[in-house]
Amino acid sequence: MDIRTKLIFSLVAVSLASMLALGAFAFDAARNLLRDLAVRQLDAVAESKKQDLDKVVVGWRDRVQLITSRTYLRLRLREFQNTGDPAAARDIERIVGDAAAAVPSLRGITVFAADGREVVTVGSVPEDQPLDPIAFWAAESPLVYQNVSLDEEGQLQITFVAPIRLDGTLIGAAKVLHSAQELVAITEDYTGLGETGETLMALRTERGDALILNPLRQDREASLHRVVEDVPTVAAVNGEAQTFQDGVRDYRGEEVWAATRHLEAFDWGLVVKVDTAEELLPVVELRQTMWRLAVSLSAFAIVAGTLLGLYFARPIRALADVARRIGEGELDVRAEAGSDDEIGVLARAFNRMAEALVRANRELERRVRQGSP
Amino acid sequence: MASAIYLVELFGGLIYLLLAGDLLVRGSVAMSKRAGIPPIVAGLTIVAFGTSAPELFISIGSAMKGVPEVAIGNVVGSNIANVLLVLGLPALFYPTLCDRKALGPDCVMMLGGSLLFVVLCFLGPIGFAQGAVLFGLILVVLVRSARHTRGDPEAEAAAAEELERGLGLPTQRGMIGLFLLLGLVGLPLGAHLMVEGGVQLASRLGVSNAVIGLSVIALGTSLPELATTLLAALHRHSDVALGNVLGSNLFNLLAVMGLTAMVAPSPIPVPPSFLSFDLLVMMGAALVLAYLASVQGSIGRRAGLALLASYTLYMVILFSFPETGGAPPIAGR
Repeated sequence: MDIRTKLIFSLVAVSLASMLALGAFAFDAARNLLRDLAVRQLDAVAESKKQDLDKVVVGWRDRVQLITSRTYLRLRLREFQNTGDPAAARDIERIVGDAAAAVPSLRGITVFAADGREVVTVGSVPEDQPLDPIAFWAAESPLVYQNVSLDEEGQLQITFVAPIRLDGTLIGAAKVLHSAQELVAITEDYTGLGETGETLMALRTERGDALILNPLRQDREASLHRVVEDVPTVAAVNGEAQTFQDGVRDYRGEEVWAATRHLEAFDWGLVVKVDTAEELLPVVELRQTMWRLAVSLSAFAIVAGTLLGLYFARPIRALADVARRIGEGELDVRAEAGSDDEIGVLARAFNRMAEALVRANRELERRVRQGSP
Repeated sequence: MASAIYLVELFGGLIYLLLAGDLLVRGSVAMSKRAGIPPIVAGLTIVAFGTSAPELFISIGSAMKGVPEVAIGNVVGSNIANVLLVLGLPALFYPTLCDRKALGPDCVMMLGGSLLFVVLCFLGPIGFAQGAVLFGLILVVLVRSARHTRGDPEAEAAAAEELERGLGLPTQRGMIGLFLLLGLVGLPLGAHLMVEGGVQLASRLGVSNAVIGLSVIALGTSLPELATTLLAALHRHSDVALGNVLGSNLFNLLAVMGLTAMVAPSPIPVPPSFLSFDLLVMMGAALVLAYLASVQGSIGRRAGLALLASYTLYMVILFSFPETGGAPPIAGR
């Protein structure tokens, strides 16, 4: 192999190795930076969505309280409680009916007396879970979650109960069936979640895994049908608010980065997540660009190797040419020995050797001519 | 900054292509020597294909990448650059002379090849069948050259000397393998970088991929010929330049385009701007080359200046009408 090729191989190997090592470090640093930023953003989105969801629940509570806090309703309810007067029940039905008509998202409302007797029902309220008066008696919350269900169109609806008090005394409760589309709408806002990101609400099942409540971006039929046991969702339904980074997979088995929150009002979990592959796309593209750039820049090593090779080879070739000419009998030619590098040293040594050979040859010829040994 | 990255990619790709092509040729020639293949055969096959390997890999690589206009642009642009630039620039320093008699048959073949290629382009996309015809013809040309030279001891000796001159052939088996391996790895790598950089640069500059193929990439792959011819002119030995350009152009049209069309996943479409402009320029350049090689027998300073000016004008036109793929919006367009 000639000097030029050796130099090219060496320089390219060194430059490629160093640039690839630099690229690997840069990729790792960029990946970590991007992951930290993405997870921080996810955490912020999760917190924002939790606050939005909480606001919706507060809104529901306020709407129901606007109904249950009407003084005439409460007076008539106490009257019904005490006397069982049907006229009181009709008054209550009129008041509740008028109020419910003004709130389209309210699907139905049933008013119970404190002893658990049903007073009136307006609209449709599922009866699968009977009212537990003791729970409400003890409940301090103005709104107690009961359950979730799907309507005929497959849309999520929620049942909750609001206690009715008069002068600090529990006189009854209102069981309310309310559309949960406001909650679903918040989960379906994918701002800041790219192409694959999604938000899911889930509740803990008796088995300890999680039942998805809302339709998902990746599974529109998930609502109340899909039970999952991936780490972030299970953590969320268990009340953990945290972030999940490398090595975590979602219900699809895809690696994700996620942030979780707990929705205390209903004891639900909230998960905001994005696919790691999508988030890392810019870094992967950066790595490809760096790789191409590293190879491209190493071409300068090829150019340098070629130029250096030619520079080093030229005096050596000249020296070889001088040696060839001396061998062919041109005893007066000498190598150019002006440089002070190793090649110059070699050239000077070569010239001294040539001089010595020429002197020895001339001496030999002289002796031969004189006939002496 | 992004454009600078693509330029670096173009440059890096070109250097890798040239180095890998060189390694492949040296490894192959060394292997053929060990295998006892006659130098004349090695020269006409390994060296001929090896020295055109950059163009070949660029064209195949771009066809595979779904940018076939770069493939055809590279071939047409290289042939234009070979005549107008590679012959024009050195003639400014020293007149290029040639043996008119010896180059006569080569001129006929080159003109015939150019005409056939242009006709195929006008007939529609260049598919496997058309590629096979082109590639079959280059095999015929190579066999004819081998027969012509065989039995002539002087020609064979010259071929042997030419084959080894300045190559620095590896001698050990492992080193030969390394040269071949690096050559075969480096060629697609260089082609990938050059095509990628070229396509991205075209997008940045707002020109078509065809324009980049015709200009930057074609110019890049013609640089070795330009350097050789320029050095020959500076050393006042430019008598081989015309013959080299004739051979290179014929090889581009028949071997590079033929093989590319044969291995491309789909027929290579010919952009309309080629039919109305670039192919005509290429054909015109081929006619000028034939005239210079077989009638005039030399290229003086004035002719060199005219060739160079023509190339400059061609480049200006290419980049002046990016919306028509480089073709001037003349009648009927």
